[in-house]
Amino acid sequence: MSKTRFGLTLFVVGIPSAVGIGALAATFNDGPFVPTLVVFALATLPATWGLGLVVLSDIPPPEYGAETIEHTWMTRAATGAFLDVVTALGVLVTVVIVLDLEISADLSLLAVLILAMVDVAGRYWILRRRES
Amino acid sequence: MENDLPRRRSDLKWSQAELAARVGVSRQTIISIEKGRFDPSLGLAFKLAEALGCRIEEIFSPDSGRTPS
Repeated sequence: MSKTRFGLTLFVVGIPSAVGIGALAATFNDGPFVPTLVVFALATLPATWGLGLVVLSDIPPPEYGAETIEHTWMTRAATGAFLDVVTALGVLVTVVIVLDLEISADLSLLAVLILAMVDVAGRYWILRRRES
Repeated sequence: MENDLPRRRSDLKWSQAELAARVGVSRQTIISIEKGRFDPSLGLAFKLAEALGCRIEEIFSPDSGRTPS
């Protein structure tokens, strides 16, 4: 991907989308408008930029993507991460029930999401280093 | 699984990227197959054989040190 398209994606898709999400969040949340907008925009910018890079990529994908080793790595990483997440959730639910704890739903879901993403990324990175 | 891919590719003076483009996979996939770290699917093995103009068993063979279980 060219540097021009890399930057273009940031300014055409990444920043406008992030600011839009930030404005929505600031509208529906009780906090001060501008700080809320800025925080949400900064937090979502990596994701919106990444999405733009995927959508506007000028690199054609392999014709038989499912036959590539990258697809194999991703499948193995996702499978392993799924088992990790299920195990972690099982342990967490047991602890919460036994100790009669109360934890907020949004924080719990965020923790699960981060665990899953970091797990997949870590496993993929290890597979790539080991097998490439 | 062992393979004769690097030699056959070199005979044709193709780069790994060129072979990858001809069979429709990534260059990394060709690198990993040549190093013996990735066993291709049967479909991809046939595509590689077709691209290199030979039979599949001329490229791929079982590990010489491996005994059937």
